[in-house]
Amino acid sequence: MTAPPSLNLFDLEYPLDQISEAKFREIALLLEEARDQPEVQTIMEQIRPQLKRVRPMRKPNLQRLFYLPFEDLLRAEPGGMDDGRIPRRAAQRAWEFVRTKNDASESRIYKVMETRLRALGAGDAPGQSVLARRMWPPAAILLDEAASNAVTNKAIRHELVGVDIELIEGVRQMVRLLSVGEEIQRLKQSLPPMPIRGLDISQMALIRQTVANGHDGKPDRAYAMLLAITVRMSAPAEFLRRIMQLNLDLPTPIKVTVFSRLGRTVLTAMDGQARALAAQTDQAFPARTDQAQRLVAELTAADQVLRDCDPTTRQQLIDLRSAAERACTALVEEASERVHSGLALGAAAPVADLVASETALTALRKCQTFARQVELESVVNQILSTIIRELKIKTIRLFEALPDAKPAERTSLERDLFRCVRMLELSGDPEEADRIRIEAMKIAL
Amino acid sequence: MSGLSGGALLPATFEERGAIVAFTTPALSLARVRRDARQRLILMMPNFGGTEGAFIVPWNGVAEVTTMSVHDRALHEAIETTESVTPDQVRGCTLRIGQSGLAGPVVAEASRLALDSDRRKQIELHFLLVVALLNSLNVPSEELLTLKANQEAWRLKVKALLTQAGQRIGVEINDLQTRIAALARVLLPLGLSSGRQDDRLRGLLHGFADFRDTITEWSASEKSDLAPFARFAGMVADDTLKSADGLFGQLDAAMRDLASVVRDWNVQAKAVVGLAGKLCWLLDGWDFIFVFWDQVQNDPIEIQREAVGRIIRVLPLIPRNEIDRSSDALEQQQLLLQGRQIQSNQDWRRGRSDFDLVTRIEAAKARVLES
Repeated sequence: MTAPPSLNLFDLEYPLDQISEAKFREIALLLEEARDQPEVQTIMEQIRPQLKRVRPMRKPNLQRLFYLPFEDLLRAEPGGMDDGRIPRRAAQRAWEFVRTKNDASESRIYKVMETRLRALGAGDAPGQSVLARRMWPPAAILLDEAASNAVTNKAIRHELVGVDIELIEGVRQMVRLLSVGEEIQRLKQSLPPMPIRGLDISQMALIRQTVANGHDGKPDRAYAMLLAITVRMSAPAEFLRRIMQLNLDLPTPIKVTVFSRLGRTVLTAMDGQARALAAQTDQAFPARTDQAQRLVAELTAADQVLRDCDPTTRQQLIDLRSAAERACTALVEEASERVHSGLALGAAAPVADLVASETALTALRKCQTFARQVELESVVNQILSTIIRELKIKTIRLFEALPDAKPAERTSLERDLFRCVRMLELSGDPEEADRIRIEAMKIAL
Repeated sequence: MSGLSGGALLPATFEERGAIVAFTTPALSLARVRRDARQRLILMMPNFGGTEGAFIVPWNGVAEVTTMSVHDRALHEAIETTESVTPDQVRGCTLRIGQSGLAGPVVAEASRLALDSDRRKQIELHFLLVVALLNSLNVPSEELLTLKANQEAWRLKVKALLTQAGQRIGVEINDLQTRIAALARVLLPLGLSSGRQDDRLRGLLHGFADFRDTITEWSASEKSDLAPFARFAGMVADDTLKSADGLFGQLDAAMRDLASVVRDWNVQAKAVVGLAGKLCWLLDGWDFIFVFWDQVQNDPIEIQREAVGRIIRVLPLIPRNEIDRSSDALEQQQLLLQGRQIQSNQDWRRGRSDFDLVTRIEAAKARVLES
């Protein structure tokens, strides 16, 4: 079958995923104009990772405003997972339902809003916010009613989600977020752009205050506000750990329930990370170590957040920890093997081989920083001590060989000495490395 | 010096701005070395510990304020021993220490190649200058092209031709040879406009437009407080490029009349040396900035923000006495940013930065040396 014409965008000399960001932004805007075309939808799906990275200015429309409170929770896969995320299909169905089922007066208001929205600039966030705030509460009520009735009423269920019954939970989740859309939007505007790597005291205070003032005693509202921020964080479990310590004006049992629900979203994300880490067996040690480090830090934070949660979630956390420990052990063993095979290399070895052994050694040092949390501390320390001992022995032999060496050999021995200095430093003994460096420099450079 | 932003707080001269030292310790990355009023070496660490402006330390006190990598200790010692304070001198130390492998095998390889390339280019430049001088004085030089450069016959032929040339402009052969050798040394990082390939600093000019355009474009789509700072970096790059273009124009014009430069040595060569020195100072540090920026082009936005923050802190602003013309837009932007601190984003992921940063800095160092 021949691909539709627009899909050929990926077969061009400079395909869409290889052009400059500036050009990509322009094309994204053009695609946006024609977004109702089915083939454009397909292209948008294909370029979604790039859209997420580049984040071009999107042309506002009512559907986009409707999505704002839950946009960061959307996922492409269908429902079925209890992770708090919303399938895109559920969001699309909910939007179509709202457009169809709005009463006459609400439909008129939507038309007026559409006209006003067209007059606003793409970057006029305050103007768009006014329209969005008007839209969310009635839409939440309409969807809430429909989701409740859909359980027993087949006709409503069909209108709302068609045959995909599992999408109902997604609609319910949207209702929770739309109900606190104003608060979520306010927080998003006041906090750093996504992904948020950390928050200062004033930003944490703002979240605390917004949640405490906005939950009205309803756990769902507190949950939705916190969820919207949690998924914007680079370290979501760490965020939950910190915010949990603040007074959210929630009774303790409710607080525990809210954080258990939030924990499920975080644990599902971590489960994906642990699987990805375990699946890697290549030599890309820096990326693997970073992943392991993030995972272990998040696990430690999650452990504190979910200390008093339900047994199922606790078990999920225990399983996750075991998976992380296995993945980290494999990583440490592979890195150690790579370093040991690299120790035999002289400085004249191919640069790529020298780099590979340095990279593996750096990975071990990075693992050292979180080894204690995954019961690997003594293993990693032992490996590094052995490496240091072997390097010291090697330097003694090199110094001994130097006086009798011929000029050509001498250069090679000196380079090997500096290589040992470098490896000693990377192994975690910079002072000994520097002492040897000074000795070596007296006879070399 | 209490700050590097704002015209009044700019250093007065390039020497006061100092020469970039390619340390690999993150806290010292792109710190500058210069002499103080008593001619002692000092180190200026930009934004050390998150403070505004630069932190100044006596050269022998650097180890007391931060833990240096073993490579940096060696480089620190080399600079102190040789009293290197110009970009060219510091580069010499950097290559010498770099080739030891203390900053990793990639830097070692790049340093060795750079030293080889410098030696080759110097010979090539020397030859080009000889031929250019002979041509400008209508002394036939075709025969040189048929002889091998390392043969005795070639050396004798060069000497004979230069003697002829010297007689035409009234300069002794020994002086002529010394002057050409001196010019080749001075022009080594810059090359000649008639050269077959761009030399190190002339080649660097290509990077300015790209950096200016990409960082300005980045600032336009950036949502954080870094946007105006990134725009400013683009403006500074543009301003530096214009200044460099002007200086290269003057240098090339002066070198077109090579016979006059060699003849009126005390006047004309002084001007050439001055222009070459100014260009070396003007472009000092930009190679690292281009690489730092290029390294993060495909990275997540938070890494790009971190890189922009780092670039802004070490941006080589042109000293106030070295600017021939002033750009209103640049000054306005500078005033706008004066006193505003770059907000470093909170990061809860500790223990991550140093290993990664050192790796990134070493990779940048290798790429700079390779270029």
